Amino acid sequence: MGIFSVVLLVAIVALVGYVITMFNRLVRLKHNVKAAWSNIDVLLKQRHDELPKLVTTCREYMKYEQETLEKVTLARSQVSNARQSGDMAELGVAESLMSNTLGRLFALTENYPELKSNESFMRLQTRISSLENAIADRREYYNDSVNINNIVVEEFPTNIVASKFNFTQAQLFEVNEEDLKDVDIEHLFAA
Amino acid sequence: MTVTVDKIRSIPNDSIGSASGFVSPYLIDFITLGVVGYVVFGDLSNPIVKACGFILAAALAIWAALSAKALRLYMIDTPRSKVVSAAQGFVELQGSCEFYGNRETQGFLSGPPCVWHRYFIIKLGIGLRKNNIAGRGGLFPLQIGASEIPFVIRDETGVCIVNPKGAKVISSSQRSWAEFGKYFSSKYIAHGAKMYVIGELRADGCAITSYNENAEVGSLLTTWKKDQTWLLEEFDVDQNGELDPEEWQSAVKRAKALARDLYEQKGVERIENVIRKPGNGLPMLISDRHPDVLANKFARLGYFNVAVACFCIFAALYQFV
Repeated sequence: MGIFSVVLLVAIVALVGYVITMFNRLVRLKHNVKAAWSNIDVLLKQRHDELPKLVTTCREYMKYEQETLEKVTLARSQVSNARQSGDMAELGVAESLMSNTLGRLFALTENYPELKSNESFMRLQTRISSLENAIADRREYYNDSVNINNIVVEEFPTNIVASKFNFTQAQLFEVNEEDLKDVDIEHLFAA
Repeated sequence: MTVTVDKIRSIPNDSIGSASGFVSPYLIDFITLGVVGYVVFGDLSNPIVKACGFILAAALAIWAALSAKALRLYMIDTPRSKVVSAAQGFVELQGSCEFYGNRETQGFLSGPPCVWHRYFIIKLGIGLRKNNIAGRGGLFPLQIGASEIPFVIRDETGVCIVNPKGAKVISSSQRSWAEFGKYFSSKYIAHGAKMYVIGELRADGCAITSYNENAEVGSLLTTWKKDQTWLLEEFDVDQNGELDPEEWQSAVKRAKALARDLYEQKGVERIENVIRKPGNGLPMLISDRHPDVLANKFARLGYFNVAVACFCIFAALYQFV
């Protein structure tokens, strides 16, 4: 075996090694995205379970806010449907609606001192608010994972391996920032 | 419900995966260069043995290059987590380092306070030569070690305990000096330094709380100082418009009592996370350098090892020319 053959062999081994490294990296990134999504899904499920208790507690005191309470229930089912379908665009819209209606509900509770002093309501409000914060943090983490995955899937020469082995881009979990703004309580009461 | 340092150290590493774990590229490099040095400068005359030595060194260099590349990829592929919402598993955290609880770690031989240090002592002048014959000008390692005391990383959202046992630590601070015929060197991560950690975050097995009295009391006093009127009303006993040392001490005393009360109230709710070396072969890295600088460093290390591997392969082939 001549020197040229040995060099060629080494080059082929190096190339195969490089492709294996790229493939493994793509697999790891795909699973990072999945794990990041699972971390959000757990919290969405927890909030899904807490919301009916909140609505039931509020219903006892907020006789004249049935429409808002129904909107919360509607948003809850929309989030649940989007979660099950795994459609991030749909989930983003549903989450925007949920944040908006929850913000509105908590703002309206300011008008009901008895409800505000109810221990069960206070506990649920704290719990749901902390879940909302955790979901926002983990959404950021999920989007970072998706971003890293998408860059690697698209950049050269990884895109050749990605297209060969059907590694695709993941969908960002985007929520309308306008809907996440704090509810203007004064405006709400004036209306 | 205070957890001890020993308890953190003894958390079982029950992840399933490689038993060998992640091997530092620096350690592999050390062995590689040793093999290359032995083959080049040793008394080997048989070209086949020499070629085998070079092939072994090339294989080690490729392993080191892959190891450095893997470290770099773990760094750039893992999104940064916030302590408060970090999920269990392999995570990346960035913040500043602090002592764990009230436990301060003094630097090596009265060095500056630090959360971690590694040191070595070498005896100068007399060394061991071939056949254990002492000779002049040699270097004889006397002692080498590293601290394994857990410390804390704090970001804007919370704190997480860092167990440095088995981690690859890269620090930018170093002290070296020679005295009494010995050479002393230590690398350390200073208290309060910016810190970057990747590793496995777990909360199971340690329903724990820690209490850093200095930090809690300091935080309360800082808040009180912002409201000078209230501070004077409460503690200025002789009403001279300022706090005398005795009056300040009474403020500190009350802050200590209040901090302890608040801690007792929150104690049960505060579950702490511990970041440590993963048991499934993934690396744990701790550094006070910026992650981008570290990633570039590992990229360069990878290229260096590829060059060493190429050199060894050509050197092995040269034996047969």
